[in-house]
Amino acid sequence: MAGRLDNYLVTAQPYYSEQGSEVLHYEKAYARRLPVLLKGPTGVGKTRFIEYMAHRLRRPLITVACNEDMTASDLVGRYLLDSSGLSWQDGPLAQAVRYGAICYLDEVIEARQDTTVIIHPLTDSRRILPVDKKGEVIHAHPDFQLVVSYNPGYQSHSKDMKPSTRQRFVALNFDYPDPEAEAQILVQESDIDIDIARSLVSVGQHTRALTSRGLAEGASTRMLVYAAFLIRDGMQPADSCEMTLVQALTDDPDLTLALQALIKARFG
Amino acid sequence: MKLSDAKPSLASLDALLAALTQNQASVCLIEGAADSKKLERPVLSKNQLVLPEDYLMQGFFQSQQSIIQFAMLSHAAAHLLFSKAARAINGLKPMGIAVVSAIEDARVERLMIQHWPGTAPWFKAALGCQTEELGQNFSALIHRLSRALIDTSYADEHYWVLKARRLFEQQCNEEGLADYDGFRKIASILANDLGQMRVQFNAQQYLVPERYRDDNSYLWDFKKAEINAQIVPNFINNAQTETSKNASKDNKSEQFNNSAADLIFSYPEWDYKSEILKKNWVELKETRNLSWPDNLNHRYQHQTQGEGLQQALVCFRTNAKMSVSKTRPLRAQYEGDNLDLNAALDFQLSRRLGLSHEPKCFLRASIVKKPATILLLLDLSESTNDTISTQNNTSILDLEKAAALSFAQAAIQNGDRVAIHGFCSNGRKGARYQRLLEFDQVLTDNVRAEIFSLKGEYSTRIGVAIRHASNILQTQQCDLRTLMLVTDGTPSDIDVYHPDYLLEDGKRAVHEARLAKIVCYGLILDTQADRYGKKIFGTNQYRVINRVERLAHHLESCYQQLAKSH
Repeated sequence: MAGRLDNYLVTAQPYYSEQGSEVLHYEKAYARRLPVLLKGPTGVGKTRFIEYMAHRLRRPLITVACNEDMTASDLVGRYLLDSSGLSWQDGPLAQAVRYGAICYLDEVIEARQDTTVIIHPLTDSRRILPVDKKGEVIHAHPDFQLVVSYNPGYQSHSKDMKPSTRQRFVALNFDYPDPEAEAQILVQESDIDIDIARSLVSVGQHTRALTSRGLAEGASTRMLVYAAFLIRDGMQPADSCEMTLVQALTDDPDLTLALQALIKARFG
Repeated sequence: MKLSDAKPSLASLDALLAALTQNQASVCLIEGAADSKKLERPVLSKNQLVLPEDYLMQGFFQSQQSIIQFAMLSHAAAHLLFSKAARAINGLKPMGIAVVSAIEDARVERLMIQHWPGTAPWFKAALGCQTEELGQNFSALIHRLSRALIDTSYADEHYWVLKARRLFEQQCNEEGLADYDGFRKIASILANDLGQMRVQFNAQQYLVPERYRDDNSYLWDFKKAEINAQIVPNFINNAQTETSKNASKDNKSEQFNNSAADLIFSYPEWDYKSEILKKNWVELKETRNLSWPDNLNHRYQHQTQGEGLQQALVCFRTNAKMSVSKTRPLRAQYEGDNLDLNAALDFQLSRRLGLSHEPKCFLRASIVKKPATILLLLDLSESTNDTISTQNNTSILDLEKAAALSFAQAAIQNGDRVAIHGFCSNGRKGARYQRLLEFDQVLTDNVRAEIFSLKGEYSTRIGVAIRHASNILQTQQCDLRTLMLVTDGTPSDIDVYHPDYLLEDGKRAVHEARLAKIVCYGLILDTQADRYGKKIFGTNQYRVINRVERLAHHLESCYQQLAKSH
């Protein structure tokens, strides 16, 4: 690594509340450098988990937020022109491969399939990244590992991962934590009173029942943490929930009223 | 806007009950028929709260309407969460049943307040604004008891009410609210006291005094008791909330008469009990519209006069934002809004190397369109002929058709390809499939008229319809294939007796369609659809629509959801 990726080291240990044996299972996968797929609803801690593991394993973590306009060059790299002529700039994936970081492709499903196929040679026994423009084949550093995340709730078949991509990964499933564990996360993150944390978690859990009534997704743990932050900073719980949950979750007037009433039923 | 000033719709009340009970139950309105007894109080069952038709009318509760409606939902949720349903009568007399029910109402409301403290003001407000004249009789005493047990600030000097309050609080403090038997004993004591006080009780005229509370039929199992008119009190509503889904065999219009345009297909069906796919089990007759009698146009004009239909028809015309089609940037263009970094670098490199290279360095957005292919599959079973009294007796099917046509028109205008097909079934050898609007067909008034002339008949065999629609979609050359199925209830057919059989087959058919890269989404016009919607379509892949008039809105919203996810 020779200090090239020092900026990508996770210096402070992030808070992460283990929900099962995912830490052990991830370590086992990392020991074999197996590519890992993290799946689960939004805001349940997938990104936090990978930060926590990068810190625990003392590996640099290079994160790429995928989008549909992303090209292979955005991952692998490109030639740039400067005053001295032509220079090659490694993309984030090439950097991670070359110097041995964990490369985390967040919401990989958002990237086009013709972009994601470039990870294929990296995710089998070859562990290589061909760089066509440069005529180079980068052999992955022994510490390199590829991790991707996606949210099955948004999944649509036109955007699904190709089986040829998906079957290169081992997968860890993330879901909303148990109520008490979720309340403890809120306390830990925001230093809020445990009773208020439990009330927030209860509201969050009940919003998740509304997916069959047209709500795209219920309140995530991250949203509840935001609500807890604002309450900790002096905002009334109902006002905080209105801002962080109700208005953030939906524009539908019927669902808005139902969520407002639910919060009123909890906090008065 | 304050919550107390809100005007909750049925959809918002339904969502609130779904949230409070974690999807255990839904809310619906019962529409009174001329020959049926008017429903006086809400009726609760394990998966549904049925409200009398006037409960959502403005001014029904003279003040704090929304708060009392929230109290009503919270009370129903409290029963669903904390009461055991259908307890045996065990010789209780009607007055005893009324007292035990009132104590149980108070017990579950107190439990609800423990879990949802914000419901306390709702219950107090609902108990405090009782406007019906109760007098010094049994109803008045029950109401005073109910209020005293919930509202600590309520002062009542009546000996019996004071005693009830004392015993209730004692029981709460000593044994807790979860001890049902303890509260049942209190109720027995109080009922006995009323007997000794010679309080008159008229089982034929008695209604639960609080209008926001249900009739307590949820709590009792009158069927297990010996059938005796004295045992089933009149204050228990005799609500007929179930409508038969099975189609009757008589009086059919035979819109599916055999014609030259008919095609016969055989499809397999999944038998989940024996776990085999029965080959060539279902016979499906596909009908296409070929003839267009002139008088249909007049019928169409006439049939779209209803207010609900007009709303459905204008819903999509006014919404220009929706489209499943997605714009994508074109790379390496001569001109555009943004620099295409890779193309610009290639150009500069070529120039420095002295190679000829065209200056195509830009990204241009909103040029490429990716049309979606959407097949809207309508349930044409007999039950869709049911009328909706709030919509000038318009049928469910009429609203289905109006919403589908508006949807098709808007989607076609947006460049997407839409087909409207319908299905019903009359046994496994009598599945019917009607192609009402083809892909790329012009949506003329004749087509509209033909669609509006359809009537619902027979039953709902959903699996074979999905398989056939899926096959049709697979013949379309496109990237995005979507099947949106609109149905009004659980699958059923005259030759199927096990309720899960057609559900499992439907689930299997959806799974097969998804393997073929077809997006399947269900819109179910049934407030109890949570029981089977998830099973057939999967989590987040269906929507429960409790007001048919809102179907157009939901179609639009699903369409936008599709646009976001593609």
